[in-house]
Amino acid sequence: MRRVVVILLLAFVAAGILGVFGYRQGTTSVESDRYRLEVSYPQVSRPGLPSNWELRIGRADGQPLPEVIEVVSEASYFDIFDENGLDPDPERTWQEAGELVWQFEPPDGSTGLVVTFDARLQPNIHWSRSGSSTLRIDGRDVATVSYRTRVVP
Amino acid sequence: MEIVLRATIIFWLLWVLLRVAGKRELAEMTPFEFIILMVMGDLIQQAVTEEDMSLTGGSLAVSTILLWTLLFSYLSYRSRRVASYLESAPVILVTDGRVDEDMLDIQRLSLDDLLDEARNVGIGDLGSVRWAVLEADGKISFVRTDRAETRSDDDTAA
Repeated sequence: MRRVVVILLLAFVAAGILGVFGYRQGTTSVESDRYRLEVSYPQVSRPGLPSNWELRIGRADGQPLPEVIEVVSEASYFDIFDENGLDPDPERTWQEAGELVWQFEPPDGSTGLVVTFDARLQPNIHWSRSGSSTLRIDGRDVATVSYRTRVVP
Repeated sequence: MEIVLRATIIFWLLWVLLRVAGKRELAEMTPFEFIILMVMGDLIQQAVTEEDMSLTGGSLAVSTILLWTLLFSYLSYRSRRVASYLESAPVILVTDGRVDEDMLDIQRLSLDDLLDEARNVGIGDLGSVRWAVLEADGKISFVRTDRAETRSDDDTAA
């Protein structure tokens, strides 16, 4: 019996060393209608750990981004985090029907935009949460990526 | 992975500190030393888990420390040589009534401490002691010359 417990302990610690219980960063991307949308997100995390979420927008054809870009995300996904900061600050932020909308105005001629959401997973979150982000340009949804953060209690 | 590494470092650090502190410190603590130990526990917790408030993180830290303890115990059991490095060895303080004052100095024990411990087990005169041994756990055992009887600090608690 004792030997079994020791082997289980060893397996548990080995799994911890191999990063099975997090923290792990994941990346998902989509290219659609000449735009490329990529999100780097906490794939596996634990309560209290610093977690980094980053969104990258670019043009596949190398052309500049439009003057106004909207990023629409599921608001419930961001509820699992304690926010430390969002960079750059959106020109406007609002919520509608469970969606969190950030409106950015990239500098003239810029071909890419990187949005960083610096946060910490809330200590009382013990369940996984899915989210999605959509790039909206001129009121039209151009590209959408989905992601899921697995929370190890 | 980090939490396993931090727990390992803290385990080794504590092991070194407790070896340096000496055997007697383990058995007897002044109120100040007791407070220091309490504070150390709090500081160590922060150092090991940092901002990790998860059940998994705490379990990993405890499991890591427990595995190191089991490994030390197993190695000490398998090899006396290894045991001499990992664990303190008992030392003789009194032989046939003669006090080894050099050993008292090494162990940072005064003659008054020794006499105090002897009185605690009903010995008024060190001349009646065949051996007084400072055990690995910091307690002092006395073996009398007049009769085959072994007593230690713990006997007084009974």
